[in-house]
Amino acid sequence: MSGHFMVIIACPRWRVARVVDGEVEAATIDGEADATVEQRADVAHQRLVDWGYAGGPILLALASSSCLCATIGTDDLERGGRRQAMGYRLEECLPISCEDVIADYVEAGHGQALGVCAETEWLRSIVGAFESVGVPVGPICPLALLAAADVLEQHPDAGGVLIGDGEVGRAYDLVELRGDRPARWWWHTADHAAVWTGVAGLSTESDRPLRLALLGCPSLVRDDARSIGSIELIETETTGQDTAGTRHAARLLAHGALPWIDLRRGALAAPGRYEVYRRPVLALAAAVVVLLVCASIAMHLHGRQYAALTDELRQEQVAVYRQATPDAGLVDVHFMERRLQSVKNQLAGLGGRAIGANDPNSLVPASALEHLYDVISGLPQDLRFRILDLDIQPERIIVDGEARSHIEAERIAGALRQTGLFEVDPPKTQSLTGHEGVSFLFSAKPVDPGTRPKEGGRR
Amino acid sequence: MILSRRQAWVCAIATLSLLSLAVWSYGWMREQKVAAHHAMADLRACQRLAAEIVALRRVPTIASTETMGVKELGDRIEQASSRARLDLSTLEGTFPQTARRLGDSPYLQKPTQLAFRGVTLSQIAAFLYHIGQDASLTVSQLRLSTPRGKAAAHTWDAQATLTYLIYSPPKKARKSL
Repeated sequence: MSGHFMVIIACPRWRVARVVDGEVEAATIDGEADATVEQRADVAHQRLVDWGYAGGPILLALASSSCLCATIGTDDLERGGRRQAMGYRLEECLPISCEDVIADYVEAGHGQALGVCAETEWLRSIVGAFESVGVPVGPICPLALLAAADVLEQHPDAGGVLIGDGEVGRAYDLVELRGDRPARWWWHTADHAAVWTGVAGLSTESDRPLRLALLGCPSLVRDDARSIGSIELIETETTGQDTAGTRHAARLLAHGALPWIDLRRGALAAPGRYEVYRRPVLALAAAVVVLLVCASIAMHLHGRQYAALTDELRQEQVAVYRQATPDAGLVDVHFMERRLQSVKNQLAGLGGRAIGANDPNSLVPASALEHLYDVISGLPQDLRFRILDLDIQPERIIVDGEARSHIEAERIAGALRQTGLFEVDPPKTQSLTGHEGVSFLFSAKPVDPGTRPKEGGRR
Repeated sequence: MILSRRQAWVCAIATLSLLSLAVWSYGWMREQKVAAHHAMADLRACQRLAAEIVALRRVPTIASTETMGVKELGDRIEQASSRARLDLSTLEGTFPQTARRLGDSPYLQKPTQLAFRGVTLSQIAAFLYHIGQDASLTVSQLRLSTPRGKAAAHTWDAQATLTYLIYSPPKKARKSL
């Protein structure tokens, strides 16, 4: 199960641990006792790389001396701002200020929760040191609770875990387990009496014997535990908290599970997986805003140019209108074209072009005066005759007169016919009574001007 | 989260507002552009019409827009008779007739008949020539008859019909509701 690493932040030296083929391997990081956090993180990184670390988040396990904890009541907490309210409860139990620590809570049932906290700035320095060497930090958990979780994994009916630091016996962690959660946690430094008081207290709280697991405790402590009648010792194969904690840490990292307590939250919360896109997204948003603003300004300016052009064109239109109709009053620009069209139609009408005729003069009837001239100039000069009535109409000319004979009457009509200007009907003649001569009457139709023979000279 | 909920709402509202502003600006610009196009089209149409009006003003008119008044006709008769040395006492009368429309055209033809007694051919011809010099007046009919009674030789009784055109487009009939 390689690929999952844990760094134990302990004093005086940090330790690194990993699980290889089911076996836990741990090592103390070399370095001066007074080395800075950055130096220690660098050395730890090098050790991890030697072990095959190729990236990915690591788990930071905190020594118990770095944490403060208390069990708080949660029955009367309001739903809104629950975490903040629990922080205030924790503040009442511990010599801390909420603003200075990172805290997490695990519900223990029976209206209680176990709260664990650590100094924010101290944790931030450690996280920052690892991230500066390219090692992302995942969960931050107390080592003792990791070890207790491992014991509970193997012995689900355990009621408590007593964790020692090996044969040395300088400090002990006593964790009360209630169901599948820790309920209370004590840390004692080399005070055996306090330890056993705590254990005895636990054992008497329940009717049944306390099933207690010993982890990393010296044999003396084991013997003492056996002597307490209300305790049932659980034999664990795990030798110490490092081993148990590392094993559980590997399980957490492998499955992405949530630990009981994770101090990588709040001000120390890990960046989300989309955090890398934050800057580009904000830059894109800013670019979009700038684009929209610039586009709006550009379009507004463009629109004003068009408006100015429109004004210019309208003024020119007014000038054209005034020039074309100097006597007419000014009208709205939108009606000028219609007005000009009306003037044009009227002028075309007055010029005879209203119906689109090629020759406007076709509207004007032929002048009777011209027909009079044609008739008079067409009459024969060598005959004596008298015209009594000459009726010139637009489509017909009627000649009523008297001649000396029928033949001369015929010659009169023929003379007009020969001019080519008229289509002359044969004359009607009648002898006059009482004296010589005949009366004649004929009609002539003016020939279409287009078919007239061309004549020389002006009439 | 890349942005908090509040930040996201502010960004969304700001973006929506700017987008609305951009859309409105685009719409306003389009309106101005369309108005400019219309103004250009109107100007070109007016320039074309103005050029046609100028050209039509040079064309001789053959019609008028209103009926010639009695006084105006009388003045023209008087002028023409003066030029033709025709005594106005020979004018027996003037008889205006009803104007009639030429087919479906917008023109009306208005005839007026003049009757003369005892005029010579040259007098009546000269009179009709002078009165017809105005392009709007035309001698459409002429009848010469030998006079009755004791009239001088070489004189005629004449009836001439003067015609002029009136440009009067028929009014469009209103559609009944």
